[in-house]
Amino acid sequence: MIREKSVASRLFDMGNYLFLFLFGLACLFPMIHVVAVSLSNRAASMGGFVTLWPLGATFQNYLEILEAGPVYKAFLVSVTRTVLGTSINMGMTVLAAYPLSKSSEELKGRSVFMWIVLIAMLFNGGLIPWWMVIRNLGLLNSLWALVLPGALPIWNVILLMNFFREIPRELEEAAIIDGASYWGTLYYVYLPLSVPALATLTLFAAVFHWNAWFDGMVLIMDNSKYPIMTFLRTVVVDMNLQILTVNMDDIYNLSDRSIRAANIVVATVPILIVYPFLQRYFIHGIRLGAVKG
Amino acid sequence: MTKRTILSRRHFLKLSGTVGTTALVAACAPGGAPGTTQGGGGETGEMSQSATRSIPELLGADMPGSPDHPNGWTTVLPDLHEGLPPAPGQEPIEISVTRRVDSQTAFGEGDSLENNPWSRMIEKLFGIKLTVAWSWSSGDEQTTKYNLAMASGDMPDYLETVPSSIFLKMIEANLLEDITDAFTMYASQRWQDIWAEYGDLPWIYSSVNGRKYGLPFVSQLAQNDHILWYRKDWFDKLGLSAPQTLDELRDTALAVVEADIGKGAPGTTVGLLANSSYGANWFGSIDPIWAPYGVMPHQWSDLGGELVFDSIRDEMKEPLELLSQWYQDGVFRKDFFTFSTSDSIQDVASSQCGIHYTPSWGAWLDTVRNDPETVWAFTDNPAGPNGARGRSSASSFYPSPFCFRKGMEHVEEIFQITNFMQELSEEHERRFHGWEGFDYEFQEDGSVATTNFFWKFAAIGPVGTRGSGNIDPANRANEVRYQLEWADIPAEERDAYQTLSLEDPTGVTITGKEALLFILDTAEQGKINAFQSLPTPTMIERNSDLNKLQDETILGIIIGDKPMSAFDEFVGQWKSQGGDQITQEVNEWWATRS
Repeated sequence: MIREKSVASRLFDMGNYLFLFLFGLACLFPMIHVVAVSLSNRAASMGGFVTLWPLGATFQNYLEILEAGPVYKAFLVSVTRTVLGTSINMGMTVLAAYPLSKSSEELKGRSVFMWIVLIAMLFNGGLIPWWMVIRNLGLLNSLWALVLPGALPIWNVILLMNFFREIPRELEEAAIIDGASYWGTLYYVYLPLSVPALATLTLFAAVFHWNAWFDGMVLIMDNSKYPIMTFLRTVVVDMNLQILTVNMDDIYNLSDRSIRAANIVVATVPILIVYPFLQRYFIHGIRLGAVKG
Repeated sequence: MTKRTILSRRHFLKLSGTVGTTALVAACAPGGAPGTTQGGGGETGEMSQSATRSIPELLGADMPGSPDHPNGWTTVLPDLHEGLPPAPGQEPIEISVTRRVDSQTAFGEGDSLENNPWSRMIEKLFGIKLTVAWSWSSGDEQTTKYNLAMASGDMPDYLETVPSSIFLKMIEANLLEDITDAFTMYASQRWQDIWAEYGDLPWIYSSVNGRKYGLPFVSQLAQNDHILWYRKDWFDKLGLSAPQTLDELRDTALAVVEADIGKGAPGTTVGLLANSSYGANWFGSIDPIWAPYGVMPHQWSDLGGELVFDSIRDEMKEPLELLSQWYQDGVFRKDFFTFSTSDSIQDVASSQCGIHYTPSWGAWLDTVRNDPETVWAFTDNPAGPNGARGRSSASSFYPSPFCFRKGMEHVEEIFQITNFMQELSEEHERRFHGWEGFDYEFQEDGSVATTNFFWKFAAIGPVGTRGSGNIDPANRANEVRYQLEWADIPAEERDAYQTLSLEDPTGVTITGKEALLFILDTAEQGKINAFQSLPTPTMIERNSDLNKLQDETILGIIIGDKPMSAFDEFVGQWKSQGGDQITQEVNEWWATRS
């Protein structure tokens, strides 16, 4: 359908594109700035000379933080946590969503399970009871404290449950007639059909695990075991230099913007890389889960 | 106030000799494989005549100092308490502590907060292993973790810098050990003497009903006292001299602005640095402009036995008018009130601003790096109209104490370690500069370079911690004085550390040391807040509103948004909105103190 466009409409389109372009640029600006600062020498970035292009371009800041060790250790903790946590999340999600997607005739007591799940989603015990439970389970200070307490992401379970329900029952019935067990149906019928949904949820879970900082702060007592976002917070949080020291080098080092920027880049890049690969599924999956027909 | 011991070379050798013998006497019974000593130089031969192990042998690589280098130096450890070091094979006592860390707290290969030269030395000498129960880096993280520890009843043995609000809760819940008697029994005489000089200031924040529940965090004297820093290279170029009065300061600043000598775009030179904290802050503060008039916003003054809130006194009006006039003349950045303290450093680092009131470390190195021609110099704070000079000063004893868990069994041990560390690090003739490969490194040419690490980050407080605490507030000043004397030693006779502390390619380190001594010499200029206590109930309830009101009024008047009459309105509002109540509470506290 080709329609003659009026001058006004063309102008509007152009204005629209220009606006969106500038808006997009404005979103990109801070990121480019941080990258530029991280690649500049310290004095230039402290002087506020760096905008979008690094001055006195150097990889020194990156070498320095990688040599110093903590960011590298924190990075490994986060990678392990993300891989382990996402796997556990997805396994649990699938195993919970599949039975819950059945009707109450097929799964006796489904509504009871559903209520338990919903109550756990809507109410929680608060910070201190939550912390004490984890402590009494002996999880404190271990990687498991970061992946086990949130092992079953209920929101994701509900999303996936709805997704499973949309898959025609006939497919399952056909599989069962052919002699498949419930496990078989889940594995051979449901999972292959839900790749977009699974990819989306995996992305959710991975991003959640990568970005989480609060649990790292209260559950990991040893700062050398911090995940990267908790570590990053110790770097970017504005120090009160007043109570530090008269050791001038120290004040000097702590106010280093270039090093902070390098830390931010190191912590953000991995998850930025994951997005484009999963985005295809992401859009697809969100749409499929959203409309019930 | 400060006592200094000056030792001649002969005394020094004698001292090291004495310590050597006492070390032998105190050393434990023979047994166990001899520890590995570093380098295996001549030192060990001398000691091995005896069958017992000397302290340096016991410590091995964890012995501070570098006696084996041709231009190294020997650290002289203080005497140990009777019965120490512990017999070999004895299980160490474990004490759990909380620690503050941040991104700069990084350790080398294999080392950590629990295992580093400092902790190994303490374990070998005292038989004590300090385990980290947990650590934090930011203030809210600290509060959260202390809250969790209280709620779960899982209190570590020794608590580092407990925030005041938490401290009071812990007292209420009876979770802290009373150390009143422990302090008189176990703290060294020297330690008790130093704190006695400061009257009740050390204990104001950590005692309840006359009983002591914690050791204060002690910062350095004059740590945040300001003097005027200026760019000498600019002044020379423009033919200006260091301003002696506030009027001269104004004229000088305007001359700098007019000449537009700054490095930024044309017309961006800033006369005098200021930012949104118009009272005292830690960089680019303008408190030396208020102080000559006898007032300091946010602080309390003792006027004939009554405490009065400075921000509402009539004496505020004159400096307010002055600041307002200066702003209009263009002395300050037009938008200075939008800058936070740490953001305002940028103007100095970028050479846009060449005059600022900042502590002794204000010769900012970034400026020198961005503009190699930079020459920083400092001068006494310009005097007010009546010839008075003044600035804000702070008590060295901070509100967050080090506390002991109720029923903690090893209070004495913490005191022993602190006694030892106080002697070691505050008697500068002992030459304790940390450990090789930790605090400093030897270069190929035999010179020494410091690392970014400092043993205090590994040590527990009060001598140590990330914030670098002390027992003696004058410690840093004593150290600077001691080190500046090294200049009398001929260059070829200096050891590597002496050379390092005297060489200063950028000139800013030595200038900073001189500035510190200068500030201490003019200590009478410092004005300390008379109210040294935890916030009163009404303060907790009303202060955020009252401060907002005050900020709006004072900044508003300075930038000409509000007329001078707004000040009187503010005084009335402040009083009626809780200020009177606060004044009453503050004076009740004052009455109990004197």
